[in-house]
Amino acid sequence: MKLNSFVKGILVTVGLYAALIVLFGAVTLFGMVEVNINGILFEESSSNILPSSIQYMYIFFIFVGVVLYYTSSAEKIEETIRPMANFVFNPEKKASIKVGQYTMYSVLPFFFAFVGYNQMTPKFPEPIALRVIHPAPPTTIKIFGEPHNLVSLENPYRQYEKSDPEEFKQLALEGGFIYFKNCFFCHGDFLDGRGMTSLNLNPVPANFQDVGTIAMLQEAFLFWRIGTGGPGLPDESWPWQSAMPIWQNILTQQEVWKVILFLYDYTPPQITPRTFS
Amino acid sequence: MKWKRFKFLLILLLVPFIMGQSEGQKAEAPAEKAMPPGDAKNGQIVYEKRCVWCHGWAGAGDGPAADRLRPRPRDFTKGKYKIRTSLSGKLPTDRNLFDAISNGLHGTGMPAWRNVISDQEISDVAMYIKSFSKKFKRWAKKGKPIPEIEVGPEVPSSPESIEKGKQIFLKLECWKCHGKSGKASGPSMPTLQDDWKFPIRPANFTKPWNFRGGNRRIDIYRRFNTGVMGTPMASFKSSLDNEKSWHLVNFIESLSPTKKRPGVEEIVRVAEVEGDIPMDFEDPVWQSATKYFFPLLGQFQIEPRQFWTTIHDVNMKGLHNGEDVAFYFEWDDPTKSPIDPTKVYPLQYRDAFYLQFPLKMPSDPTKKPYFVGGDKKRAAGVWFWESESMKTVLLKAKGLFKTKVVGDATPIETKAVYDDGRWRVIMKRKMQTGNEKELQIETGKFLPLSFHAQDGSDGDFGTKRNVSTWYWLVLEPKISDTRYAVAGIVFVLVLGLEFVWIRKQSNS
Ligand code: HEC
Ligand code: HEC
Ligand code: HEC
Repeated sequence: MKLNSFVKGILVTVGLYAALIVLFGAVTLFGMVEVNINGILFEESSSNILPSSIQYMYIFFIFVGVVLYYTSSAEKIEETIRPMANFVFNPEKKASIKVGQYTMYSVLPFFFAFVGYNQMTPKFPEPIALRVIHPAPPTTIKIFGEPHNLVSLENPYRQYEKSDPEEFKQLALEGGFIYFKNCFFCHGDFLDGRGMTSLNLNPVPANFQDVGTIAMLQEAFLFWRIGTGGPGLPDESWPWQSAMPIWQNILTQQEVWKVILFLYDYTPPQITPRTFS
Repeated sequence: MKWKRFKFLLILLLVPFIMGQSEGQKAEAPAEKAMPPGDAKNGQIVYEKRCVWCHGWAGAGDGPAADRLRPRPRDFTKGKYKIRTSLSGKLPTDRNLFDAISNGLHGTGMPAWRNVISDQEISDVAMYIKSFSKKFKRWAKKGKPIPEIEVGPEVPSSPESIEKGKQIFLKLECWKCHGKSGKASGPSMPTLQDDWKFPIRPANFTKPWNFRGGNRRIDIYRRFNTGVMGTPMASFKSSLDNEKSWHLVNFIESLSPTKKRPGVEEIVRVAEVEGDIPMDFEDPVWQSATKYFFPLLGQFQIEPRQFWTTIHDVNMKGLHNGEDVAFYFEWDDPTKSPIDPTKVYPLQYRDAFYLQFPLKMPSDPTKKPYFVGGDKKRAAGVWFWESESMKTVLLKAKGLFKTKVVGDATPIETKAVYDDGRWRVIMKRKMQTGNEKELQIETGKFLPLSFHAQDGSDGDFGTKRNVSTWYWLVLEPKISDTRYAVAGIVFVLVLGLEFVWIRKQSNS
């Protein structure tokens, strides 16, 4: 039996979507893993490579592509429309089509009644606002009471990494002390953003093990973020909502630089600060 | 149709299901996992990378984080372990250590390490921490296995068994610490200390997700039979037998509707009711209102900070009738403060609750005041209740140190009761007050809200508080019944049209 192009179009759409799912770890849809943060168990999709908004966009493009293909010539249009017309008018008076028609007749009133009901039910969707995770930093900032130029600002301790590895190790260890007195509650013992408070926070604390955070940032950017915390963010990044404290009120400038050393030192070797050069 | 091609598509569709399945299995109970033999030398490397921050370089529980955790990280030099299957006073087995490190101690700073390091590493580090206490070596010389408690056949839960459990709970005086309602509010609670002289709270049986050693039935059975070593929670094995133990387990389980922490919704939806909103907690209108759960965390932002939560979460309900709006809050606090209301206590001995909104309805509700008590740019309007006056006032807050009472604010009618480990507070106000200095609440408009809470007897005062970030509140109008009529009319109309269409088709 030759498939008509209408059915083919549907199959192609579904097939391409399935291929996407397989390629990017379907798990976005089906694979939930149980995560345990201090005894609080919750389900989390085991892969979040593709957020659902992107998936919807993808399926929309496939759909448009398929529609374009099957309407690209008069013949194709004719071929696509014929089965629908056959179904609606049933010129050959086939019994099988009749069954389909009556099924449709009995479903349609319910469908439209539901649509009507739904339309009359007022909805109150949450006001939508998107949060910018890494906003463009200001070029000059006032932090610890002094103006700094973020482009030229460097970690004063970074030089020891090559010149005096022993000293560097000591400084990173001091950074560790600062981290485990102040930061691990939120950013976690493993620096993965899964600290014991993390489940109670939105936005969630940054995951430093992830290649998408400190690995793509300059040390000066971190200095700004740590120094000024959540409230130092511009409005598009929700300064009122981030639980990240303003560390310039609590730590010294030297301590912030040391904790930055620790963040890169304690995470896997591929996570290194980005530089301007 | 070409079956081959179809089959390919089918497989493509099925793969995700299969993958999902195998993922699901991986997350299964870790306790049944095989334990690889451990190597203390390698364990030292793991320990010095991962554990020193809390447990200290010499295992004395004095790492840099120690002072800011409660309970404090364990001091391994004493050889006292909480989560065991061994008899009271005995050392833990290797398996006990492996499980405790894998699963963590729930509700404390001790994380579940199985998320982070391999089973081999966990075994290795378990061997290493044994070297901090001489007791393990001494026991090993005896060459005997560590004696463990036996768990007999299970008694399934039933109303009779729960009742028997309750009688045992009363007779053995568990309630003196754990409270009659299981909310950790027993009379001995304020005096309890662990073996290191730090204050300790009994477990709250209505929040089993915080049980240190897990909340499976077998876990609970073991805890009161082995005792929680190093704490006042002794072993009750000598007063119990297998059957009695299971009755007790069934009773403890019956105190909590769920084992998992309730989910957190982003939006509190307040339904409309007819007539006056009752100020009575037991009123059926309140009982049937939807309950929302919000976890709190310490106040890490402003000095002096609060590093651990003294109040872990609040429950909220809301109702309105088009004119008044009322909020119902409920949270666990094992002690009522001030302890004696006839005496004048320093301020820090009162319990308090803060319901935060923006001071005025913002033109753009997605722009909010800072969640820790507002900021210079945007002030927060705080409905502040405390347990001394038992009243609620409106605060204008431009930061934690810049708050003042709004003198001419519309009164907020308040009712509060404390019973056996739980505060309940209802706050009621006019939605529209006509006073432009304060928030006007309208139906259908989204409002940010957040919560702070303080436990006076735990020293919470000023900036020392438990906080939440922003959530949404919306008052929904009563949905009119016209939607049923509309659905009916549409149904009849479509049916009629179909009828006409079918007639036409069969005529032609
Ligand atoms: C109360 C919880 C909390 C504590 C404590 C905390 N943070 Fe954060 N932090 C957050 C949250 C939430 C975010 C994400 C939101 C944001 O970007 O502000 C964050 C973000 C960050 C970022 C930005 C990362 C990025 O990708 O842009 C850095 C860097 C950071 N934190 C460092 C630290 C350091 C260093 C400390 C300790 C000195 C610390 N944090 C303590 C909650 C916390
Ligand atoms: C963030 C701090 C922190 C880190 C890091 C940490 N622990 Fe703990 N640990 C704790 C706390 C807090 C307790 C005490 C909990 C209690 O007493 O209820 C504890 C208790 C323990 C116990 C006692 C369990 C029992 O049955 O009594 C063991 C064993 C343990 N930790 C092992 C480890 C090992 C091994 C590591 C490293 C892989 C580690 N901990 C890392 C905080 C930590
Ligand atoms: C002297 C006070 C006291 C008495 C009496 C007492 N408990 Fe406890 N109980 C505690 C304390 C304190 C803890 C918390 C231990 C911790 O957090 O490490 C606790 C914890 C528990 C836990 C939770 C263990 C876990 O995994 O977190 C259970 C279950 C328990 N008790 C049951 C009982 C039962 C059943 C009785 C009566 C037969 C009883 N307790 C009597 C003080 C007491």
